[in-house]
Amino acid sequence: MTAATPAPERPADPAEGLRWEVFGRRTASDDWAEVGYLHAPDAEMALLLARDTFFRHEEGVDLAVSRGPDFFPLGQPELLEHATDKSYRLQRGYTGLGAKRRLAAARAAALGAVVQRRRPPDLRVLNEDHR
Amino acid sequence: MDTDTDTRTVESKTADFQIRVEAGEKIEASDWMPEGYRQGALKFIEMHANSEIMGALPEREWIARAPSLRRKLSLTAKVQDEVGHGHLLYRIAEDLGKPRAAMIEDLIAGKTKFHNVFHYPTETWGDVAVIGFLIDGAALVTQKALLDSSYGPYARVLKRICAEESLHQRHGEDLVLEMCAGTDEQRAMFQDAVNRWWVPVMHFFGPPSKPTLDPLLHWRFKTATNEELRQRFFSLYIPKLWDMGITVPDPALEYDAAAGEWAWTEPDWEPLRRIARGDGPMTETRLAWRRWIHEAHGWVRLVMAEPERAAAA
Repeated sequence: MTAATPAPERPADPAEGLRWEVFGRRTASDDWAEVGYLHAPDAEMALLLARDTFFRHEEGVDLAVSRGPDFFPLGQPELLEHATDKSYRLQRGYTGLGAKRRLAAARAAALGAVVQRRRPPDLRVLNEDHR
Repeated sequence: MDTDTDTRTVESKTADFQIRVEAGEKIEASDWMPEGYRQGALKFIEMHANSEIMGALPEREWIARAPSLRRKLSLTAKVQDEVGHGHLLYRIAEDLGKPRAAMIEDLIAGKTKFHNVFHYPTETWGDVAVIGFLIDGAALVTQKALLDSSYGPYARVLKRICAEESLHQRHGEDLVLEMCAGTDEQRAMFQDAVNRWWVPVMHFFGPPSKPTLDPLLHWRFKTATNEELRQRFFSLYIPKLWDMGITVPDPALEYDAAAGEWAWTEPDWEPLRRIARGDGPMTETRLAWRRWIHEAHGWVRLVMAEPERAAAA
């Protein structure tokens, strides 16, 4: 290493790595918004970890990591796309629950197993709120 | 580090703090807060983070044994989400004054706690269904109530966590419905798991608490009592189980319209106390796993923090 080469930046706490702020854009027309931070040794690793930590469920179309004045966008939106079907990570991966409920209820009814005990009168409001 | 230049007495600052939380204001990490609030919030969030990390272990045992590729993938994704929640929560806890490394050390040394339900074995695929439906359901009920927490950073991170938990809950119900619409053997497997998990789920909510004795309720860090949360859980999940012809092992469980609440039988709380003392059925095994994972993955932390030293090693 020559004298002209700057020493590699050291994290304040060696056990943690450098801290990077993570930004994302929800849609192409949205501005960058901060989504969190993480620790990584360099921008490339920070981008990789940011994708796996904050963008697994279609949270945005682009992401970036930043340290001080330096801003590193992912730059390859296709890295946020999936080569295979990963709908099991999303709400839409579990559709048709209503039909499945009816099927299970029909099976229970055929067995005479439905439990007939007193229930609260109307659960629709509570159920709506819970989703 | 105390950079507070406010010279008023602690009593006066505490009174103002109380007014703020009662007005529904959010407390931020950099705000002055009573020491009891800081310690209580830290302990609570640290236990939540620990539980996400430890909760990954019983489900992880079933990834390789899941009955189809699709179920393997979805269970893996769920475990990954839970570990991610741990990551998000440790960051929030860290800002209250305890370094993340110390929290991990204390967890694997058995000095800090994680939720009772992760101290039990997962015996069959029915247990995976119970965890995905009833335990995630119980967790979702408690976490949704915390979206109104007076501690701003926690309330914000819970928005994201609840969105993912609600996905897990659908995943869990999908699993349960598949078993309950299936063969007699599948139905019996799920029923058996519900029977074994019922008491731990009741323990999860804790004994009916006295609101006046809980400082976290007083400071609006928590916004609902143990009993309010349990009652909400009953209303959401019991009718669904009954419709599928699944019973729960509490003969008293029924909605009392006159009282406007569910009647239920308090379980023996001793097993919960035993877990709190670090003596649950799987406490040692799970902590040993966690310790082994921590040590075996030490090289990853080294690569991330000090790549040059890792390359030289």
